[in-house]
Order: sequence, then structure tokens, then C-alpha cells
Amino acid sequence: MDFIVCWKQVPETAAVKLNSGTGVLMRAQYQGIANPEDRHALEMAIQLKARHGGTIRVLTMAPENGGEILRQALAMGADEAYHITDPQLRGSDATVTARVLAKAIRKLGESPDRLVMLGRRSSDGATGMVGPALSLLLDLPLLTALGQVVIDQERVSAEQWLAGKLRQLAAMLPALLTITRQANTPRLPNAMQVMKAARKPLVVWSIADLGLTPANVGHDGSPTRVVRVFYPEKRPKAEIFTGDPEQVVAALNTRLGRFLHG
Amino acid sequence: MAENPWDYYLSEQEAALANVAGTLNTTGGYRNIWVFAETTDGFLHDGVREILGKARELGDMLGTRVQAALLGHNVRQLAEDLFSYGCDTVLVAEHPLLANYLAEPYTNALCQLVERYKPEILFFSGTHQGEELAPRLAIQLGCGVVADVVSLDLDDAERLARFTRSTFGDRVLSTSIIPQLRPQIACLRIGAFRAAGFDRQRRGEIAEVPLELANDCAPVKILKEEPLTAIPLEETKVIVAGGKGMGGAPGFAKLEELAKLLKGQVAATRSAVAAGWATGDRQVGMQGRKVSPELYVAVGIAGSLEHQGGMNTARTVVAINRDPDAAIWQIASYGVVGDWQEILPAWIARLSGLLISKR
Ligand SMILES: Cc1cc2nc3c(=O)[nH]c(=O)nc-3n(C[C@H](O)[C@H](O)[C@H](O)COP(=O)(O)OP(=O)(O)OC[C@H]3O[C@@H](n4cnc5c(N)ncnc54)[C@H](O)[C@@H]3O)c2cc1C
Ligand SMILES: Nc1ncnc2c1ncn2[C@@H]1O[C@H](COP(=O)(O)O)[C@@H](O)[C@H]1O
Repeated sequence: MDFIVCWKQVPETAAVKLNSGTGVLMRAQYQGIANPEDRHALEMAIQLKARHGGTIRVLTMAPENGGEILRQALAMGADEAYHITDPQLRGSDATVTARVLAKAIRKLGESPDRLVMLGRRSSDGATGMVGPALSLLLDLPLLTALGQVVIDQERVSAEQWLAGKLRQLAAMLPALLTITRQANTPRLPNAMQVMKAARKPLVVWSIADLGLTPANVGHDGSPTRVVRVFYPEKRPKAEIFTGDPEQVVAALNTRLGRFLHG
Repeated sequence: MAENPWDYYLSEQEAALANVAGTLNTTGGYRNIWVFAETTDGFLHDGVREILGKARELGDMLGTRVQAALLGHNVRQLAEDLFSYGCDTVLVAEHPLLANYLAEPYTNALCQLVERYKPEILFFSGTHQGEELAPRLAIQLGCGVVADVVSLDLDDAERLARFTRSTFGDRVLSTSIIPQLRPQIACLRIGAFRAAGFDRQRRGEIAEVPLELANDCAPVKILKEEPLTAIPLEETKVIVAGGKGMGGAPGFAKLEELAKLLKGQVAATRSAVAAGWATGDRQVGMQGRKVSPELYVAVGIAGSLEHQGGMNTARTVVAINRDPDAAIWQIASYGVVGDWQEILPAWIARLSGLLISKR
């Protein structure tokens, strides 16, 4: 089996600040972490590899420091790690990100028993668009929002968690899967694995290595343009009730009338 | 020193801001506003009404037609409802391969429609189907797509939609445009837009669109399909959520009682999930579900930014917390400063009383 896991660096959550004068986001000091659902995707690849053999390659498109999270992937059990990084990639939107990842995956060659695995959504943008876009670019069957995944000969079958229903899907390999947190509990590497991972080489690719030019990527290559960044409006200050529980809940009920009738 | 990952995200936005001046707009030949009329099991999805509400508003401003792309097998009769919600034209594309939603045949069919009729704007609901189709269509057609839109307006001089989406767990909003490519594609977040009114008298036009779908255009097979009994959290109108302040499973049992009376479902913070009082699929927040219910009752929840990231688009937030300085008060509309152990039983008793007297 040939597993390729797309692993995204997202900012650790914390206070995001805007410069009140310019409306521009201020730089803050935060660590990049691996997108939570991508850990589930890698965990799944590791478990499937244990059963069926093969190699796991992890791929990230991230700024220069993205190597850190790739080391985490290696420590968890990935075999090889690829870091796509280039100053020109700044400002790439979801479709461009998918195009860059598609180029990189094509550069890894063709394989009949390949599974490309992603998290269903990233926690910062949470658009969930990269997987579906990538499946089209690579012309792979798309299976999203997966829990359990089973490989049987050349076929992959999986349970898909949708709003209000559970579907059992199947497709022939190669295929592209997006994984949800229902799938498993990602392992934590031990100190030994972390140390070993620190010594493993990373493959670093620039856009030129992928046959892309600045016009294809980043701001210039992205169809969408950000025109404004701002804080959400503050809600009106809460109306707070205190005192005797009986009176308090009566007051609540009056305010919530429309939910209680009909 | 290594570059800080935030710098990457943030300067990306700054540079983008500098980039907009003098964008050029070529709408050549693209007109009308489209909605994807999503169906499941032969019914229109509720979200269709919401995206139609917005589409109608924009259509009236621009003086263009509002059209729905209705894909499926034996779905024609749904066109009546779409007219009632404000559609002028329904493009009906039926095919046996579209009987059940699957990304590949639906992408293929929708591309055929868009290429033939060239809409200016195309809206999807931010559902599973929308999230799959919108980016695939954008790639196939080489145009732009914006996901998880929470509000939108129009630069009518330029005929550009301005899509506002939330990032970093709803803590920062950003507005994007798609200056050059058509159609402008977007997924609108469920619950964020007002549903279109219903007018039985309204009539429209049906256009049947023949499709060419090859038999091998559906590489994914559905082996089995079963309903999940609960409505997903994302689609319930009322959510009753508990946090660490519930103190244990008995507290969550009280929340269940309240949820039942309010016809809602129970959710939880990460701390409550970690304590084992609720299952992980109930977690709301940046690392959990993102919900926009009509009513969100937060009990014993501090209101961390991480939790807010999954629920601060709720229309009305009610909090019960004994700490008058808890962060949850920043986003609550109403609430009680006090111990839930006193408030909840009184509230439950009063609500059950209401229900009995209504009978
Ligand atoms: C990377 C990251 C991601 C995270 N993602 C999420 C996420 O997705 N979702 C999430 O929820 N959290 C998330 N968190 C955790 C988050 O930071 C908070 O720790 C968590 O939300 C706190 O949960 P809580 O409000 O239930 O608990 P607490 O902070 O312990 O608050 C409990 C509240 O209950 C009140 N209280 C106590 N007893 C009573 C009583 N008897 N009656 C009334 N009120 C009472 C207290 O006044 C207090 O305000 C994340 C954290 C990190 C670092
Ligand atoms: N820059 C990236 N590098 C590698 N993988 C990515 C990148 N962006 C997105 N992905 C993958 O695509 C999934 C969905 O991301 P998104 O569309 O941003 O919600 C993530 O969970 C990752 O698996």
C-alpha cells in the first residue's frame, strides 16, 4: 500500500488581535500545531499499514518552520516527510493549495494501491475544501467524513458520517479519503520515537521543484481576494437575572417566549 | 529564528489587502443567480430556503433572475416549492445515476449545467454536499470559491458579491471577493441566513436539461445507508450545553431533561467531555462541532474562546453561571448569575407546567 497523508500546520488557538487603527491582524507569538483531524488521518494510515504493509508519506505545504510538525508525523510512524515551502505560496487560497498538493502528489509517482488521506477539515479555516478539490485534480474517487476504513484486495470500504445518516461506501483503489475524529484516537509518540524522528531527513520542495511559477500560486494565482479583516460585532451586553429561582425562570421564559410556543 | 506560523497566516491577509486596488471585473456573458437545490431522500434540504432568501434579495437588487439547479431522479415535483420560495426558474436535471447523492456524478452534471447556462453567482448550503461540490466545481471550471460564508452583500457598481467568512474559530471575520472569474461560488453557513418566505401563489418556469452521464462516472458505490436516529447537532434549533460546572453525570441528566422540554439536544465543552460526562461527538468548539442554533443555553460553561469558536453564531445565547465575570457573558443575550442546581430544577418544573397547561 502507498499511503500519502496531507498534514496541515494550523495556529495554536489563542487570542487573535486586530490593530484597531488599520484593521489589520497583528502578529502574535504562537506555535504551529498539526491540524487535529490530520492526526486522525495519519493514525488511520498507521493502522492500515500495520495490517496491509506499505509506506506512509506525509506532505505539508507550510512556511519554513513547517518541518516541526512533520517531525511529529515521523515520530507517530510516518516513513517519509515532504515539506513544500516557498515564499511565493503566501496567500494561496483553498483551490491553489489543492493544486500545489496535487502537483506534489503527482511528483511522488503513480501507484495502483494508493490512498491519499486528509483530515476532513482544518481547524483554522475549517473549509473542508482541499480534500474534494484534490480528488478532482488527481481524478481519484472521493470518500469524505469517514470513520472506520477497511481495505479488502483492491477495494476500500468505509463508513461515512453524514448529517442524519450513516453510509457504507466502497471504491476501487487508488482513492482519496477524508477522515473525521470518529475514526480513532491518534497515538502519542514516546521519547525514543521523537528522538529518532529528529534525525530523519525531510524532503523540501519549492514551487519550482513542482513545476509551478509565482503566477500560478499565492495571491496572484488565487481566484479569491481578501478585502477586509475585522472583529465580529460585539453583542449587546447580557440581560442578567439574579435572585429567587422562581422569579428568575419566569423572567427567562418571557424572554424566550418564541421557543416555548409552537 | 524560524518564521512564526502566525506571521504566515496574518501577513498573508495583509498582503491580500494591498492587492485589491484596481481589480478588474469581467462578467462577460455570465448572468443570473443560482442556488443548488440540495435534496436528500427526495426532500429539499432546509438550507435551500436560506440560500434562496439571500439569492432573491441579490436578484432583486441586480435585476437578474434567481434560478435553482435541481438534480436527482424523479425530483421534478420539488420545483413547485422552489417557486414558492422565490425561484424564477428551476433547471431540472434528472438521471438515474443521480438518485443518490455522490460527489462524482453530481459534479459532472452540475458542470454541464453551469457551462451551458453561465450563472454569475452560485450558492450552496454549507452542508456535506455543498462542501464537496463547491470546491470540485471551482476546480473543474477554473473559478473561485468561498466557504463557510456567514454574511454577504453586494458591491452593485462592480456586480461583485462580498463574502464574509469567519476564520480562527469565528474570532476574526474576513471579507473576500472573487474579482475576475465566473461564476462566483460560495457555501453559505447553515443557520446564518434568513430563510425565504413561502408564497404558494408564486409561479415560475421549469427548464428540463438533458444530461450526458457515462455509466462509469460513479466510481464510489453506496453499499448501505441507515438513518442516524438523532438529528445532527448542526441542524437542531435548540442546544442545551453543559460545562465543567455541571460537576458530573447527574448534572448532564438534568440538561437532558431541559433539552427535551425545549425540543433540543445536549452539547458539551471539552472539559466536560474530558471528564467523561458527555461523548466526544457532543463537543462544541474550535476542536468540535460548529453550531448556529436559534437558541444556545450554556450551563456551567466559562465561555472560553475555544468554546465560543463553535457557537458564537448562535442567534440567542442564554447562560447560567455563578461567576458574574465569566467570559460567557460577553456573548450571552440573557442569563442567570447563580447556581444551576437551584435554577435548573425551577426552570424544568416551570417548563413542564407550561406544557401540561397547554394540553
Ligand atoms: C487547542 C485547544 C482547543 C480547544 N478546543 C475546545 C473546544 O473545541 N471546545 C471547548 O469547549 N473547549 C476547548 N478547549 C478548552 C477550553 O480552553 C476551555 O478549557 C474549556 O472550554 C472550558 O470548559 P468549561 O467552560 O466547561 O470549564 P471551566 O473553564 O472549568 O468553567 C466552568 C464554569 O462553570 C461555572 N460553574 C461551576 N459550578 C457551577 C454551578 N454550580 N452553577 C453554575 N455555574 C457553575 C464556573 O463559574 C465556570 O465559569 C480547547 C483548548 C485548547 C488549548
Ligand atoms: N497546506 C496544507 N498542507 C497539507 N495538507 C493540507 C493543507 N491544507 C489543507 N490540507 C489538508 O486538507 C484538509 C482539509 O483542509 P481545509 O480544506 O483547509 O479544511 C486538512 O485536514 C489537511 O489534511
